[in-house]
Amino acid sequence: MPEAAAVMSKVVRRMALLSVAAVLIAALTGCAAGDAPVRLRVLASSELTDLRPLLADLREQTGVELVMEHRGTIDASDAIADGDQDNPEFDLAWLSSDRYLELALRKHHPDRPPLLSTTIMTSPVVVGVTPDVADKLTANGPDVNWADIADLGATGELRFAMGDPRHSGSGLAALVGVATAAADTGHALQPEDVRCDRLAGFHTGRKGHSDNAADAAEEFATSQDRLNGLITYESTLLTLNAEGGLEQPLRLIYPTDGIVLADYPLLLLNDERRAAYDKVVDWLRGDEAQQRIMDDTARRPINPAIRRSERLTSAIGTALYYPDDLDVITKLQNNFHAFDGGEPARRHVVFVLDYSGSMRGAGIAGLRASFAELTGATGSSFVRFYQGERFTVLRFAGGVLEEREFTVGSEQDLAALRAMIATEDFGDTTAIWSAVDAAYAAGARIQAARPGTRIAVVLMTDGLNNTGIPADAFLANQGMRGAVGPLFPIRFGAADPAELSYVASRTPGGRMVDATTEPLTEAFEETRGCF
Amino acid sequence: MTNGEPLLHVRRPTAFYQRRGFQRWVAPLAVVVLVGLAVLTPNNALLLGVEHLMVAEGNVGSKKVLFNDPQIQDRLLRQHIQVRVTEKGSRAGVTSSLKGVDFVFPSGQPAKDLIKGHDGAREHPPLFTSPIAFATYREYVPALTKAGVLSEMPLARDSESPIPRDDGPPIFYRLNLYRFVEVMREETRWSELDPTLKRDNQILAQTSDLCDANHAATYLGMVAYAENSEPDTDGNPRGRPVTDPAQATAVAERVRPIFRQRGMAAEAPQDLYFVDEGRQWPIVVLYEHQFLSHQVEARERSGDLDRDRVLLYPDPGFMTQPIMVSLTENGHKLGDVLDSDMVIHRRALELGFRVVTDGGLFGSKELQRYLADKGVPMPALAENATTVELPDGALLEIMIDEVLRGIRTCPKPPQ
Repeated sequence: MPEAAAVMSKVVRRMALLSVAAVLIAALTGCAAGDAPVRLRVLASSELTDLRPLLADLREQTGVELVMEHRGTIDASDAIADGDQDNPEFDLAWLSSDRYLELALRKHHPDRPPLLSTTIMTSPVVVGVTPDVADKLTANGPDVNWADIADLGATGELRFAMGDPRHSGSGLAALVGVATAAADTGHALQPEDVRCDRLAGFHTGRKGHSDNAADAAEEFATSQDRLNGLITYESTLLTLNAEGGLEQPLRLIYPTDGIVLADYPLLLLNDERRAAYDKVVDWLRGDEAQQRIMDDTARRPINPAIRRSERLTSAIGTALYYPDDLDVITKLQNNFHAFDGGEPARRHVVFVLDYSGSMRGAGIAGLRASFAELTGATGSSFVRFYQGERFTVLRFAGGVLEEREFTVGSEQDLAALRAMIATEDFGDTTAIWSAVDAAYAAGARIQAARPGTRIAVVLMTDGLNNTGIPADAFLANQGMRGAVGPLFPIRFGAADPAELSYVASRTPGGRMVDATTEPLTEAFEETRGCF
Repeated sequence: MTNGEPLLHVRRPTAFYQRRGFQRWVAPLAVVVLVGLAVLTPNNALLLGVEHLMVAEGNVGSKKVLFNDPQIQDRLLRQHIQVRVTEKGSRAGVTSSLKGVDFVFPSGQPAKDLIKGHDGAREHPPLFTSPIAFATYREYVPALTKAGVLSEMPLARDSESPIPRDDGPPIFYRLNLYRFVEVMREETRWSELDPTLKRDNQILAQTSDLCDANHAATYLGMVAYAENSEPDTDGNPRGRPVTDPAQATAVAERVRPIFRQRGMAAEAPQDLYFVDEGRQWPIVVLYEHQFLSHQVEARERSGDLDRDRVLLYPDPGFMTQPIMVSLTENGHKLGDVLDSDMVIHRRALELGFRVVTDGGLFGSKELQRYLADKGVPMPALAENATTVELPDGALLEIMIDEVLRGIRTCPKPPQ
């Protein structure tokens, strides 16, 4: 009946209109109760661009929109610490970790209470390598530590991309990891532990040039012909593998001596936004969001109710004790910077080796063992010679017996070195200071030829100076030559500690290492990179 | 136009929905009401009536578990109280700005001392206690046992309720505090005690930041007590609290490495301990109630205890006593409710607390029975067990400053 139908449709239309009105009113009263759309400016780590789809849902369900600006974590932290604390530029920060930020804030604003910080998700910083590299690393067993990584970096077999530790959280975390392992103290790095830089091998391996995590991942993906490793968050590696764009899926290595876990805290910078912050945190830690985070971005959820997906069940191992002194961080970053630019030739050691008669037997055996370690013959080591490293070896007895310069390029170079050390050509007398004088003369020549090169002279002797020039004459020559670099006498046998110590202290940064109380190889290790 | 006889339409009786009155007034109103209800109902406030809801804002540390519990929240809502908490760490909660804060709920004495003298603050009687303890994972037990740190922990027995049948390895151990401090002072590494562990880190207990958390400050007090020990007549160590500033500084300097060698404090180690990623820290300091409620949940979820996680009770030990301090009218009202509401007290027991109010109505015996019902054993804490004596507030602050000297100073309470 058309009339009834017409009446019905009018009723329906009116009902529809009124429903809309009612919803609007309800929504508005709901708004008045605090659901008004809110825009928060967020300073976020570079790799969090993968959260975009999730944030769209956050906005839809809570009314809070997060407007993200992405930077490397360290850069972001510096910006926050340097900014006006009472009128922050951003409302929130979402960083891979707030450890560095906390150290920076403690230094620059010591009286302020800590920022409100809530963990949302986690991801460990690990090493991704191509299967062939993984096989090399696990050749002696499934456990891989930072020394193994540094070792392959030194030989050039591992060529990885990594964020710059001065800008990137993942880069700094990896650097802290390898440096803590290299110091081998079992506790957090203190300033004196960073005195000797044993990271030359590790730094050699870094062939990428990216500043932050996101760029490093992209650099790896586009340079698979020359790079075979990527040090970054587990989530980034899993995502790269899942996307299928890599030539070969990367294998994930979790160094057993310690990793750093990024725990992605959401930080409140602007106290006036507390209500919106609470809403966002509740939603992000809720079951639905946590599941999405795990499935879509491969990060580990913080919510214990979520059942882990298979790929996120790898044991992460021990945590590193993270340094609580900003000076340590700065030192590590500066060391890195000094090495950056890929010019290993900046450093040049002159080894001055005692081949007088008394060295026959135990002395020369210890010396050969030390060099075996440096050439990588004894297993992974932080102190081995790295690709491109240049050094001079000078043998002496009553005078200089042999002097040769080496550049580490191939196994042949190391074989030539071993052959030189293996010689049985000894002398009868000991002319320590004439030899050291010759070594410094060589060092000065190298500095003249390659300005900016840092020279160190490492002397290994077991006896007393009984021929050639005396120590004073050497020092007088130094006075004319200029400083050149530190002297590290390694004393064992009957060598005179007082004289060696005295002369070493007259060189910048030099000091005697006593190998009568510890193995010669350890004493050798102590000087490696200590300048 | 067609002219003809007028057509008489017999009108069917108008249905109610066709009447004008209905269409103009009733239907629209009904729609508004229905839609409005649909939108507003999820908000509990509506169901309780339109009466005004009192909101209490508080700074809490690990006792957030009480205020985040849905049953306790519900109970409070029925009394028109809504609590909003900021998780800050007990000490941070009282040293940061208290503007707009109605109450603080520090987890123990060291934190509570900081708020003394605050105008209008009212301290409420203690509701419950919880022993401070060390939590670790099964794989570290052999190493600690070998070092002489661990021994068996007897379970609570009660004629009325049987000990739950427990075939697996124990989840509670006694930890010799003196020996533990000694092991840490010697800078012992895990691999030295147990090569299979492949952990080269020093053995150190992890906590939240010393400036922020009660459990961290209490841990410092305990370590100092053990370090400052003297032998008793049998030659066994007996701890002593520090009694003057000079002594506080000296002892703090001796134990400083135990804290400083850890570097930066862990992020929420007490939360992280219960998920996989917590395994990165071999030993953390936490409260018994956190561990017990986790075991209850584990039983419910999987039918068995979480035998991977193990709680170590220090001997000498310490019972922490969280205290509610209300600062404003709203805070006082909330405090009064918490003081007297037995439903909330019962729920606190179910969360693993040893409730001390109500004349022992929900005390340790009741907790034991509740746990037995849930199939979770409970350790027996001897009545005359030795207790650590913590130094008084001012001396503890001196020790904290000494441990952090050269690195930073803690933010002080606002004047």
